[in-house]
Amino acid sequence: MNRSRGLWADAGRRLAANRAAVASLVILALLCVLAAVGPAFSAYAPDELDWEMMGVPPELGSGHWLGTDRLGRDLFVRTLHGARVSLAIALLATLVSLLIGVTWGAVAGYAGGRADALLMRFVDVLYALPHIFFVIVLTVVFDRSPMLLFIAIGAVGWLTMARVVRGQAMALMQREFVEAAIASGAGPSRIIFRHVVPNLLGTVIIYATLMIPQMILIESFLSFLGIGIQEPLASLGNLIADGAAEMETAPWILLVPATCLVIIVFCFNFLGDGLRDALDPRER
Amino acid sequence: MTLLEIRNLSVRFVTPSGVVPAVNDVDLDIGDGQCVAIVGESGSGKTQTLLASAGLLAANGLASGSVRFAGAEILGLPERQLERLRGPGIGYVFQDALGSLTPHLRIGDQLAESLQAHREVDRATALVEARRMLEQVHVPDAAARLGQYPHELSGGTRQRVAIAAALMPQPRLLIADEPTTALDVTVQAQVVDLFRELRTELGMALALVTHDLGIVAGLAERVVVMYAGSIVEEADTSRLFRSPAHPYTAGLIEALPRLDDDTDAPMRTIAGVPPPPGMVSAGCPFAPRCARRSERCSVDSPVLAAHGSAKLACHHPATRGGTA
Amino acid sequence: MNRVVDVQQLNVRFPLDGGRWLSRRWLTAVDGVSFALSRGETLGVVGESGCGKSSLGRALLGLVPIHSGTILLNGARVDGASPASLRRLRRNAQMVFQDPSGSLDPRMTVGQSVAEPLEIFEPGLGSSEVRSRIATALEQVGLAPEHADRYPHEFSGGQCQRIGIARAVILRPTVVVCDEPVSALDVSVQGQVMNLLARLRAELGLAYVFISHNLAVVRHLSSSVLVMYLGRTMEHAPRDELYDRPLHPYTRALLDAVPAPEPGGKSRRLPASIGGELPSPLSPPAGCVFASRCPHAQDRCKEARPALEEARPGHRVACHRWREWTGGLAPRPDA
Ligand SMILES: Nc1ncnc2c1ncn2[C@@H]1O[C@H](COP(=O)(O)OP(=O)(O)OP(=O)(O)O)[C@@H](O)[C@H]1O
Ligand SMILES: Nc1ncnc2c1ncn2[C@@H]1O[C@H](COP(=O)(O)OP(=O)(O)O)[C@@H](O)[C@H]1O
Ligand code: SF4
Ligand code: SF4
Ligand SMILES: [Mg+2]
Ligand SMILES: [Mg+2]
Repeated sequence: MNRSRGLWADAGRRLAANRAAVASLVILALLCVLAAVGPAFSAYAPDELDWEMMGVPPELGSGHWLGTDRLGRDLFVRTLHGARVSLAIALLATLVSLLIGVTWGAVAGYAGGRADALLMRFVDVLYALPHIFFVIVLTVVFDRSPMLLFIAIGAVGWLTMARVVRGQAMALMQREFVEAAIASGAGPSRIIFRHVVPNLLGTVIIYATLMIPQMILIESFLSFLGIGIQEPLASLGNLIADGAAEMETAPWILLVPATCLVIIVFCFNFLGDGLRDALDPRER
Repeated sequence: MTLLEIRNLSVRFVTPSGVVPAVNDVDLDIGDGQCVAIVGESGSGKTQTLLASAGLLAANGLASGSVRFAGAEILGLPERQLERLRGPGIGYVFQDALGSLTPHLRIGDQLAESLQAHREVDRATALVEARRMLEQVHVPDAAARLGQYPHELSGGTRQRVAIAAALMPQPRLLIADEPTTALDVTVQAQVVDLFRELRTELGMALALVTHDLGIVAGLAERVVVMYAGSIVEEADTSRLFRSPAHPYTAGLIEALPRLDDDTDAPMRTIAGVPPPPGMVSAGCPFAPRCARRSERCSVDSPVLAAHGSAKLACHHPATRGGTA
Repeated sequence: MNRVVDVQQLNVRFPLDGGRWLSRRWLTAVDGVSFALSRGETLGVVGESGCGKSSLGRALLGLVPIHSGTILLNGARVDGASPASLRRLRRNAQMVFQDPSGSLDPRMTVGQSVAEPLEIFEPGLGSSEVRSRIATALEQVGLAPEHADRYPHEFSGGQCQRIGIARAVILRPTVVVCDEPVSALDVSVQGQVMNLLARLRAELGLAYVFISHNLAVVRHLSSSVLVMYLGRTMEHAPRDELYDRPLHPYTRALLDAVPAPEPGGKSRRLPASIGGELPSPLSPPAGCVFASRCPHAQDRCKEARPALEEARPGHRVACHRWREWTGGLAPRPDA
């Protein structure tokens, strides 16, 4: 019983006890692995047209396990590819908003007063802009590259992150251990990076986990509208758009990528909830 | 007549890291109109004993044993019936007075509501009653306070309002959990006076949790001392202070700083630290800190036994228990 | 030079939210407090919640804005010092806080917390040297060196307070401000921490500013006691002088409010007129700030503010009527 456990180890144990969160984590991990290596196991490439089999429903025997679309492209491979693109964009966008948002918010929360007012007013202004519109304009004005897309999405996401972090940082600045560090002689960077940031990491992780599915949804929405990822590249969004057009005659073309999207979104949400319970327990 | 009768009450909490025992096998009686104080270190189970008695345990808490209020069993009662019993039967003043008042409700509305929940009265009557109650607990300027919000009041006034809220349905038993701990010394004295006065005027029973022995001395008729989830001593107040039998009780009384202490000598303390929550030891839970312990103490757990009108759980009492 | 703290006419103010620059309102938390302290001495600061005890303690380390007055810490000015020189000052002046576990960073091990001042002020130390300094500090406060690798939540309140004290003394400061270090502790461990503080004071030659709301607690450690009310000094005297001959009605009230654990003995009942509440610090009364609760108040008290006068050598009191209500220099009123 003499083992010493930090708060992180404690949280890890609580997370491990949460079945929905662990299941989500496993599914997400499988999906990531599958998205990364799965296409290699299929006989088909994502943009390969199978002239013999156009628009066939899911069937194990044909080699097109989840069917093909109207052009005879294998849906299994395309969906995995789409998931890969969507996940990558969402993760990168979340990472970008995390880096900007955490630094921005932590500095604002630490500084307080006029610096804080200035930094947060800027966030407020950006917040007031209609994001989707903003992203649409960006993608229309510049080229429609996936790179630009994730920068555009990330540029929107960091605003929420900055607000959350700033609130947390302000609360932490009121805590006695921060004052104790100041009284010990600690300077601003030590306060921010040794005391404030580690203590709000829990909240940040929770928000980031819940932000990823939002990012995926935004990306899918944009691709669905035709201004995101462009053919022949696949993302979950444009796959769903394709499927929606054939909804009545070939429902599986919609259902396969849509199911994948739903699974990803649900898993991240379950994981986020589990993390919240694990990192932010009521007791103590 | 016994108003509250607790038998073999145990409280456990189910936590992700296992089941944590908080209260072990507690027996306690509170008579009509009697004032019983429960003292002990923080974490010794004082709050949980009383929360369980009022059916207010946290969701992950499990109570076993029996708690009878005016003859009726409370444990296992559905929430609806508990609510009906609470107001006019048991009033509860929580450890955190600010937390127990609703922040966005005016004082008048909160008090009126706590009455209307239990009695068929219209709002105007309830407000009149609320004002009367505020005057009873000596809130200055009672009429004006009815329109204020909790955060606009000072700590002492807030505590008085919390007490008034619990008193509105005129309970037969008032449970007050550390009602003075958060208050300033001069205000503490005022609140103690208030309790004393309320008891003589309203004749209610009072269960008082505190770790301040000075308050106990001025208020309670009987004192229950808890340590690590169990009762270790129970006696009439004057008896307990005059001749504490359990080494822990004796240590507590000794450790209280007084104005006539010898300032050159070190302060008297109890060595060691309280046991961590949920620790179960084979012998006496106080043994690691006890100056009187013997071999027997660390293997054989002493049970609470009656000695005359007092009760004691110790193999080697500091003074002769009971027979005096 | 033995004098480590010298405070003259200290004023601490906080700006209130809402008001703009010129019309901004201020809350005066400390109003004209003066005292001096030498090595090995302890000043006890007593008063009710919100009377400015913590603000006074924090001002000594430059943790709150100093509106006027001077503070000398080991001969160096605290008022008007730059942030960088303030940080340097803290090498010799540390603080112990009220909330034992709240004043330790929950994500740092005990060792990391204790070593923090060392890392800041002696960054060149090797890791083995740091470890041995941590071990010494922990042993000094009665903990084992092995505890360095554990986290604060694994310790009880009393143990956390020991860790906080280890952090405060690891640099061998000359002054330690203790802000209610035992208020949050159980009675059975309060004495342990008090005795520890007394031992460290003797071993390391520290000077303490010891803040508490309980006169019985400060009595043990203090060489002199300063009683505050609404930011002002009510009474300031050598310890025994203050306890044996309180000259201010408020000091008397605080003494009366100390719990008396003998049932049937001295009851806790106070003179009825010390009901009432602290006036709002936003609009302090014109005359004596204690007038609204003072059993001896007269008209003159509500009009003129009593000056802090030296009633006896080293014994200062701010009351118009101290001679009358004590009956001259009577001995302790209840003796
Ligand atoms: N940062 C701040 N901003 C505004 N007002 C403050 C600030 N800190 C303290 N005050 C106010 O200054 C006054 C004195 O506060 P201080 O914390 O020094 O009191 P205290 O005597 O230590 O009280 P307690 O016993 O409750 O700790 C109070 O009215 C308080 O509300
Ligand atoms: N919801 C809970 N979950 C787990 N443990 C709890 C919970 N509430 C209280 N406890 C534990 O029960 C024990 C007794 O608590 P309590 O009765 O509140 O002590 P006190 O004597 O200070 O009032 C403590 O160890 C506490 O940590
Ligand atoms: S049983 Fe033994 S260890 Fe326990 S209190 Fe009595 S003497 Fe001490
Ligand atoms: S000056 Fe007057 S009101 Fe103030 S303490 Fe003295 S007697 Fe009381
Ligand atoms: Mg409690
Ligand atoms: Mg304070």
